[in-house]
Amino acid sequence: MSNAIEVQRITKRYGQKVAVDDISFEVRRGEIFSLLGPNGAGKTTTIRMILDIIKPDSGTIHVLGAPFSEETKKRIGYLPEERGLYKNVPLVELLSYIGTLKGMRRREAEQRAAQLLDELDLGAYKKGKVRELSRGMSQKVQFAATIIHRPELLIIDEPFAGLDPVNTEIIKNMIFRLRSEGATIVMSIHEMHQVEEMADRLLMIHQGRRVLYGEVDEVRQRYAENAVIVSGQGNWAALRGVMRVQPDETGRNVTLYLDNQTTPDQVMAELANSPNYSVRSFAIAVPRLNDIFIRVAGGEAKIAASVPSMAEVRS
Amino acid sequence: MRALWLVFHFETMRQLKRLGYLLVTFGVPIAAVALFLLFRVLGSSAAEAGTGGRGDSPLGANVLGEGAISEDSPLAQARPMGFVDHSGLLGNVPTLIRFSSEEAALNALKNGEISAYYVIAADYLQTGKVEAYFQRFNLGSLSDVAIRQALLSALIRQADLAPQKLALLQARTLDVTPIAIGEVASQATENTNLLLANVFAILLLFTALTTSGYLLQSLTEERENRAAEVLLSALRPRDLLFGKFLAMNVLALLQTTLWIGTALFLLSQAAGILPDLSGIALRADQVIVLVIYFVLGYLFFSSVYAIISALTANFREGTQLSVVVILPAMLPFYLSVAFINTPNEALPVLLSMIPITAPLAMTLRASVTSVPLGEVLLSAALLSLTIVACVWLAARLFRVNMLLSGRPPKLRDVLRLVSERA
Repeated sequence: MSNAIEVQRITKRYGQKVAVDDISFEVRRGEIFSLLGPNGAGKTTTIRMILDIIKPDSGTIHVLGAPFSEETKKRIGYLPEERGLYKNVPLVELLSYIGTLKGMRRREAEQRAAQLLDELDLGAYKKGKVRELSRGMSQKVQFAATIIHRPELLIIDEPFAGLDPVNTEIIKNMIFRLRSEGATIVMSIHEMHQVEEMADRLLMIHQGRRVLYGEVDEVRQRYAENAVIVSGQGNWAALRGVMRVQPDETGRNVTLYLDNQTTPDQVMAELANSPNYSVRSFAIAVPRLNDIFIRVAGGEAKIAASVPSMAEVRS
Repeated sequence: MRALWLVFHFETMRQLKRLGYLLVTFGVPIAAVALFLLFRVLGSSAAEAGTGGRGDSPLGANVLGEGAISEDSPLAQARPMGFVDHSGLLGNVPTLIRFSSEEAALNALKNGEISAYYVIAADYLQTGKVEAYFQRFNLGSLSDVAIRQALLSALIRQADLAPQKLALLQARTLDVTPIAIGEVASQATENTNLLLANVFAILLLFTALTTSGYLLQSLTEERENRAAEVLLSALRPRDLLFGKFLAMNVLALLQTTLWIGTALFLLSQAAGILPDLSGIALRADQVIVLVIYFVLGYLFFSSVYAIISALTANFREGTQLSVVVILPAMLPFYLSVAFINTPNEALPVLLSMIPITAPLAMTLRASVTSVPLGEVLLSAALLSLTIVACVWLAARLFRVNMLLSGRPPKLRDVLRLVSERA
């Protein structure tokens, strides 16, 4: 089976500015794919080209196995970052209108709209209007409008923006359920912990160019430094091979940066054999996506500046 | 096509449920009928009071006093009419006053002794021509029953039943040509034409602007509530544009039809009160041109407003920008006197060819004269091409502005996005 999205060397220029510069990637069927990048990186332009809202200057895009067509639209759900709905239309009527535009029959769309509103804890507002809802509720209605027609491919831009933790969890569970039902999900998102938790693979765009691409775990490993995270008691800086010690915000965990001649196994053996240390947990340090994002988007200098030196830790 | 229909259906039903639309559409006719009934009730009361004051005197020439009734009042028609017979056919006519010369009749008319007089031409038997002179031209008051009866009687009395006389008896006993005297009468005739022309012009403008207002509101809505991109992922911009375009036009047409229907009904009920309008008649060619330009004008204004709505971020900006179109479009209206007096001169013809002024210019001209076919075809062709171009541009701009998501478009954005592949 072909990939859900295949993008080959697309470029888009606006005058002198290159919004998207020779980007290629693929989104596999059934995966959650995260599209990352700082503001203005070219994510929205890329999404709009995938959705055929604008055309690339060069390159090719295949969506669900073929070049984009009007029929393709009916198989895609899209939640844009700039989003809103008609404010004065009853919710079921509004959602069923979107559903019919996506190819559903009116009766089927109405039933599905009512069902989705129930699932999103909005059952009491079926006859209500968007203008009567809170921002979080409106966001959930937006999400319902995106998935009402059970899309094969879901492209969602900042799906958790404006949602409290409870509603975030509801939407997240619906995304997982859609994936389990076979849908492919492309997520543009800034909450890196959500990417770590949800995404299978990612693409990071910076200044229109592809800077990170691959499995989430593999990318994190790629950026992993030679370090371990431990919690417990002892003089960590005195361990052989430790170059730098960095406690986390809670003070309970400490990251030990090792020199090139020392492996995590050696550190673990020394800790186990030395009576001067009491260890509650030990793990190989893998950088958080947030750090990788800042490092790539903001430059290595910012990362370096944010890390305290060994001397600072020791003092 | 299905998407266009869905948009059309959704927009139509949504607007039909809006209180504002319902109030304007049905409230105006209801208010008009209510006002009419109120005036009628008040009028009846006043008439009853007036009749009581005058007693039971019949409305005749020798009974009604001058000055008791205004010149414009329908009751002024109760004054007698006169006639001058150059043909020698007529004897005394019971309900008409005979004058020996036109000069005497004219003096009587000017003095208010009579409301009108007929002049039977010397060659009446050959031409059937009778002229009617009025102090104030008034189509509704033209009742030629008395003179018609008198002439018919005279012809029958002759009874030689020559073919020409038979024809006159059967079809055209007389062909009355109304002629107004002096400046007052001339002005009255002009006013009638002006009134007719202005009624059509205002009707066109009013309908077009009402529609355009709805359209402007509707087409800026998605950008104001940020629903644009959601909808663009489901349908083509042109389906959204045309669906809304059709829906708003149907709604405006419904509203206009209801209003015009109510107005016509009220006019028919008020025929006795407004006799000036009862005799207005247009030739078929005039009607055709008026209908063509009503439709074209309507589409032109709608398409221009579609462009305006695509160029602006919200309804308020659109309303402000629309002045740029409305002012030049109304130019013929400001020059309507020139259109009435010299409808086929250079200026009216020129303005009939310029698309933005053509709808009103042609409406004004066609109300008062027969516009040459060549000019109609050329003007209509230019206007139609402009409409097509406007709709095309509106669709492109609409797509552009949808992508800008409520941000006011800069000229370079517009040029860039319009020229790029859709």
